[in-house]
Amino acid sequence: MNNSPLAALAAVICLIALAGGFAGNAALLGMASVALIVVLCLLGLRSPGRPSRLTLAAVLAFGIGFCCLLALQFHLHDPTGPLKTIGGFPAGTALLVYGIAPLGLMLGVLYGLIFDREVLPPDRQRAFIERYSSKQ
Amino acid sequence: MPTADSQLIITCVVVYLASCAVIGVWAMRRTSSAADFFLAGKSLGPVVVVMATISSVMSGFGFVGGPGLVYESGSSSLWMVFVSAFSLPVVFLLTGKRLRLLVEVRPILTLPEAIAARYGGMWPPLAMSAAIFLGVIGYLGTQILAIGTVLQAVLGIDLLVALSIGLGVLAFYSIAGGIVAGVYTDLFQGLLMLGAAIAVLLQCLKVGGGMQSISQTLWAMEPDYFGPWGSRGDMAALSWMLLFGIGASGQPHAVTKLMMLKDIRQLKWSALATGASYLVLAMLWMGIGLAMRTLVARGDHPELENPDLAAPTFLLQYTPELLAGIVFAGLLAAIMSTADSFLNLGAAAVVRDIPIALRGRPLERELLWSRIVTGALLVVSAVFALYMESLIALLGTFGWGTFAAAIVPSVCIGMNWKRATGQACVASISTSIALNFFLEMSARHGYALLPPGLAVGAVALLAATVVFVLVSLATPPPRLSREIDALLDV
Repeated sequence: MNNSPLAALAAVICLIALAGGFAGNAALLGMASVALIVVLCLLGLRSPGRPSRLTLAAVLAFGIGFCCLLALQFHLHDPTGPLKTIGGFPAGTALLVYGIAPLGLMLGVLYGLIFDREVLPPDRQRAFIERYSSKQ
Repeated sequence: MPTADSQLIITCVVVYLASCAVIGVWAMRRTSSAADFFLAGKSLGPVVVVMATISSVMSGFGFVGGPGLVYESGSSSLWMVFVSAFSLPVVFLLTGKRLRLLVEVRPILTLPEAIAARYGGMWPPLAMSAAIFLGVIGYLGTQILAIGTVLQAVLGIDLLVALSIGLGVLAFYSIAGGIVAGVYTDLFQGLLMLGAAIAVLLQCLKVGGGMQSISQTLWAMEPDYFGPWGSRGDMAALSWMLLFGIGASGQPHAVTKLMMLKDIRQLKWSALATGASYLVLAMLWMGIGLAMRTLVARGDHPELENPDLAAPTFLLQYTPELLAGIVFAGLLAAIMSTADSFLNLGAAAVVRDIPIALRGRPLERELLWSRIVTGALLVVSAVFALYMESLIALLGTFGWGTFAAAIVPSVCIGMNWKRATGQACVASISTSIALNFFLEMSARHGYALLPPGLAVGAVALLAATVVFVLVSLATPPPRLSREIDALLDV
């Protein structure tokens, strides 16, 4: 599998994140970090014929959702205004607790759902072990 | 320093320490080879692996330092812990399948051995062993000091005596039982703390008068404190998100647990279980810090001398005795099991990884030497913890960043990219160690080279990743063995 484009993309995103960090632009650093997580996930999922379009869409949806929540946090946090709460937490913080954390768990759900079909199909596992385990 | 007057709390802690000794004896009977000592004979079920992973990642830093950080800077550190919802599943995604398959077909016990199989040559595993060893010394010293601090608070004894008791139990079960003792202590502790975290959160809400009331008090005190980024600001919060969100995939004490699974197909739902369980433990991290800060802001409790006292103070003064006793036992278990994981990693680096890289085989009488080196590491780290406290703190911070920056490129990207080369592995590990050490040292001596809030480890991780990719593309493509070539296609 030629994953060089994804690896190169990861390096470019790292450079953007570094630029954001050194320029004091936290939003750029944050968005680049999310993009890096998405690219690493795709790197982990890539193998011949995979990921499927549905899986690709799910990972991209995770990244877009995460970026939207981050943007909303920047928008909602107003330390000079009155306290606005969601579920008992200040609005911006509530997005972390009730938004980003559950969204993150979706990656675990996705991993479980596609495990047999895309992550490690039993026939590929069996074929690999049968072919190479004799070396032990 | 608050101390426990309650016999119930002291009893819980003593019962826990005795349980550890029993687990050590039991594990010793199950440990007859180096494979048992380092990888628990690849015999663990998914529940044990999930609990061992979350317990070793949470550690003394999470249970003692976490509430302290929340107490000190509000929401900032929540970005370290809430990202675990995705960071731990990402560990499975990037490393679980291929590392576990590699262990299936080759006699591999440690991460540097996996690196040797992936890249070949002497330098990649040697560089990885060095990075792990440096990180281990820092983390181990921090954990040992944390054992002393918790025992001192509970038993009201001198720090030296507290350290001696804690080290005695830790030495017994880690030297005798290796990783088998560690993971089963993790199981015991993980289950205990999952229940206790919910109970403690409810107690925190009760003491603070509910979440709405806590928010109002903290907002009136300082709006930024409980805003989305906390007092340390957006740059610190988001660079911690990066370091802990991606860097979790580079923590060897988490990654190697996946190599211990009995059946590779048990990876399937373990990723979700690990992320969700860690999120439950995060309630303890968040709840105690917020409750203590609320009490101080309302004038119901004096300002703490040291933020790290937030957890012991809350448990001793605002929590029912039985719950406090259980959580204290869990705190000790978290610290000790993590210390055990690091002792195991350090011993593996000295007894197996470095000798294999240099001369092609581990030391003779490997199990015996593993036990001797484990004991020696314990003594060395205890000496560091007692006499070089500031250096331990420096190395503790250095530890997470070193692991993340050294391991994420070489293992997480390298195990998913055929074009990655051994030269790139060595270059990125060297970059990570040099940057972490240089930036951390310069900041501690008053020469801050980074913008305020930007985490050293995050910069090192990003830079090491760039170096890894660029050097891989700039060096000749590696000649992969057919086995590794096939592995990267599975």
